[in-house]
Amino acid sequence: MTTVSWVCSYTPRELFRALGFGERRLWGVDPRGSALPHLAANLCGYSRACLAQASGEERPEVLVVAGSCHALIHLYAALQLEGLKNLFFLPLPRLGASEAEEFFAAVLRRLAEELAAVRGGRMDEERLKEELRVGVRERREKIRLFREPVSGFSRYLYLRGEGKDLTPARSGFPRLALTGSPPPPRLLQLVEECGGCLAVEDCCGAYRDLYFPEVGEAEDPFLTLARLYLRRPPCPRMVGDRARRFKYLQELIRDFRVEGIVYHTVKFCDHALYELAAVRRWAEKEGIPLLWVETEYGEPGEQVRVRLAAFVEMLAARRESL
Amino acid sequence: MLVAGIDVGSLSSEAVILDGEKILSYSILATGANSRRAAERALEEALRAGNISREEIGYVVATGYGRINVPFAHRQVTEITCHARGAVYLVPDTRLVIDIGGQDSKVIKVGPGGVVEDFVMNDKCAAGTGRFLEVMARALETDLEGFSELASRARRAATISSMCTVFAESEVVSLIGQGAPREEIALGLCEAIAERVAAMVHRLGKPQPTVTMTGGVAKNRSVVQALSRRLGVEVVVPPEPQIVGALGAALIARSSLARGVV
Amino acid sequence: MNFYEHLKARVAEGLKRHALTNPLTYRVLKTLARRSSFPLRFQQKLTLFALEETERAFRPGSNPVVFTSAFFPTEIVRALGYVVFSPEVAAALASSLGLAPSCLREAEGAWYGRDTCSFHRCAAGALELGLFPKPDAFCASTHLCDGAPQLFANLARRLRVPFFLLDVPQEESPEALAYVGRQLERLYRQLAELGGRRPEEEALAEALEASERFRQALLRIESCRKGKSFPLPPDFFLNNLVYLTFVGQGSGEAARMLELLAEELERLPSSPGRVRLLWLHLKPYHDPSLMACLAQRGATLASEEMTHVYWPELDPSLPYKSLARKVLSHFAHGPATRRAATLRRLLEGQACDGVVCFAHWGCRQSSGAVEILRECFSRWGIPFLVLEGDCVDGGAVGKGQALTRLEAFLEMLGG
Repeated sequence: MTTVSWVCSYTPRELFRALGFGERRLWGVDPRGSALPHLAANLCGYSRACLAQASGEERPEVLVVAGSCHALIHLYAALQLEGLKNLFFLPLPRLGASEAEEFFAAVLRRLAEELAAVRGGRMDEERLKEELRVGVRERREKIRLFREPVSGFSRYLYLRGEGKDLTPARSGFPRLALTGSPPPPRLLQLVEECGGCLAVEDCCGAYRDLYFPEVGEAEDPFLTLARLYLRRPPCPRMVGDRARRFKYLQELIRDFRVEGIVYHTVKFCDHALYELAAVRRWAEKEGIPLLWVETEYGEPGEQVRVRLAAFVEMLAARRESL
Repeated sequence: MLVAGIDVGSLSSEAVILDGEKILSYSILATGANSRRAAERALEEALRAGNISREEIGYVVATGYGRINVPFAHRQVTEITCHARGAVYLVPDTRLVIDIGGQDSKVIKVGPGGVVEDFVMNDKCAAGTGRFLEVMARALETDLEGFSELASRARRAATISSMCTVFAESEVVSLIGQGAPREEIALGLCEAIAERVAAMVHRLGKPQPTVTMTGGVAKNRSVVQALSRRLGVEVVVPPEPQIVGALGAALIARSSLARGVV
Repeated sequence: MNFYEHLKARVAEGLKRHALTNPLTYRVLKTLARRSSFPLRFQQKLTLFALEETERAFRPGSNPVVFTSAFFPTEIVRALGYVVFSPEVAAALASSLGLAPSCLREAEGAWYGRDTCSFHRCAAGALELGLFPKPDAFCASTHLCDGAPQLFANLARRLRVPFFLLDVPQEESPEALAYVGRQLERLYRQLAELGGRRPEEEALAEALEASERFRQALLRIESCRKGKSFPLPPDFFLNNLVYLTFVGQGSGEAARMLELLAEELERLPSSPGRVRLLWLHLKPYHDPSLMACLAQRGATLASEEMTHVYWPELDPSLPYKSLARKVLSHFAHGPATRRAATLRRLLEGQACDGVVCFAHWGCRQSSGAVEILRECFSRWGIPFLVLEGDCVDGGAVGKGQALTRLEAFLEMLGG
């Protein structure tokens, strides 16, 4: 089966499945050691890791690059220069308005036609409708995991399809939420090594399936698909939808009894770096401790460890004094 | 029973031995390449200075970068928690602790009893850390003490526009080339580091007195003055600011022992 | 002393913060500008225009003040008679007046990290310090960069004023045209409501007419610059046209000024034998040494990416579609390979000898593309230089390195 790779959680997977493709998120490979032309020094580690993967031995058969940010837009140009075959660009709205939904639906319809041509097939709308229903079922199944007392790191790997075992959560430790840029998996492991309980993660890496909306089936399944993804809780990139983003963070904190937020930025990730300023101000007002950590989408390193450990110590002491 | 705190930092290591709340003895030495050895030597030296035998120590807390490499420690606690605890012990009204460490600088907001309320640390680069000053001292062909001494003699500060260690170093070299007095360059560098650290302080809001500075750089009067001026608040330096982390670790060791935490 | 030097000296003397935000100051400065001498009449008009706009922005109870991001289609704001204020231009000015360090410090305290764009950090800090007028709304579009919409969303939330986003998808397609057009129509209506106005179609058509005249005048200036170089500072056009491009489109007065400039240029004698550069992005506003080096070596910016005419003719009877086409044809829009092709046409059209890309550290859009541009230009055999630096934050960069590179490049081009 041909597999479509994608790079942003706003890429509708149902579309690929309906066309008979397999699908996977591109996580990238360690870019160190590979000659990385095309991408400038001030672009993030995730875009570099993806370029290293897509121009190396693990070239994706089909790749859909979303225009989520300038690093990914440059990644698309870089892969054009690399001559990667079956490369597609998906323009993504940053707004949750009805105009955006209609535009996104049209774009998805066009993408479906282009992708179908890769295999010489056609898009079957009935099959897309069916995949939409399958997607809803799968998501319900996935988010059930967040209600179970399992280690956040093992849950994260499990949801990524990389780990089969879910290890139990250690109880009694400060409950944390992780948000911001796509984290390297090691960061989640480190949070737990430092004594934190990862109550919930809201980052691009974890598919962001929580609180997926209930969307009535429109006559046009592409419109249903567009609505499904654009009406989801917004990520930092959805700059036109900030009020909903904060409402969502508030819900996460309430529903998962979060005691502290770990805001992670990948160095040079503008969406997260700017949003951090707003989230920090908001967290101060809400009285929720927030820790900022930065990685280069690789090994977090000693400096991140000491920050996480100190944050956990601080939250534990806070518990005692309450 | 006595307790000990060991702070194994990237540049120096310290040990403090407590009897109740009383400091019996302490040691300060360079960490060197082997942090595990440094922890042992620091404790040995403190024991010797206080004429104390190893068996009398009932509980040890290790902190600092090398805290995981202290096999005889009962517990590891980060330097953030330890500095807060130690600073409030020495200066009870402390609301904010500034510690300029070898590779990390931190600003810690503390509540009553030395509880950490919030903290920020420098980003990955060395700007605003002890390492920055060390590199600059070398560029001025002196050591940290000599550097501090140089700066204290300056009447005015040379302008160092770059915060980046690499760029600032080349600025220093070109200032020397232009014949700028070394004293003025040193003071300029103190101003530059104060500028960086002040920016971190502002992330935690307007600083409320008392602001206490810990760590080896606190011995540099020019940095302390530059910081006080920038923050608009007097920056207090306890006697022997270098042992504050180890002291905090020892205080935590005492509470842990009392609560029976193993 | 020219007008600008005069202003800079006043600020250096400690022109009080509150004076900067006092409309009276700008009235006084206008009087000064009327009496000062300028090499071109255009410059005097421009200075008076900028001061008048700033005075209006600070005057309490005047028209709503709308903060717009670079290349937001200001026509829909101008049509309503509102005041357009560009925080990015203001940040450049703050940097050139030596006010940036305190603004940048303030922004860092507000959790804007040092890897973000210093134009934006400086603007955030200036707003915190009360150096900017009080905005009634923020308008940002997503086609230039990721940072500006993010910053504007934050600031709007902070000040509890509306934030209007123009979401421009990174493709030129009929769907995108319809999407952007519909948003513009909605935004015009929403902006009108903000000031209790009616979204008059006639006013919008007038703004588009002015904007089209602006474009025609820019084309005339371009064609003037094609054939000759002028006895003007190398960054004359970068300094004067960027401001108008960012805030003046849709203003009749701005169009008239450009027409005046075109006339004056047509009359100016040519100054011979200069190395002609195509300049990308902006310049360090805190440090004049790069431009001084160009002047000294007889090199000039013959064309700038930021000020060239990239958009097709506007049709006042189809305002939303015209403006949508305009933003969708922007040079920074789409993959950087498209940008490279645009720049190549510009270079050839304006008879430039080489390309200099000022790589502003925090800019993912422009500086993030330098490697892609480098590759494209090297394939085409076009000399291309990257100068790493920071437009606003003088503390972020090393001194001297960029200058050495620029000199070597000019030597290579035979200047």
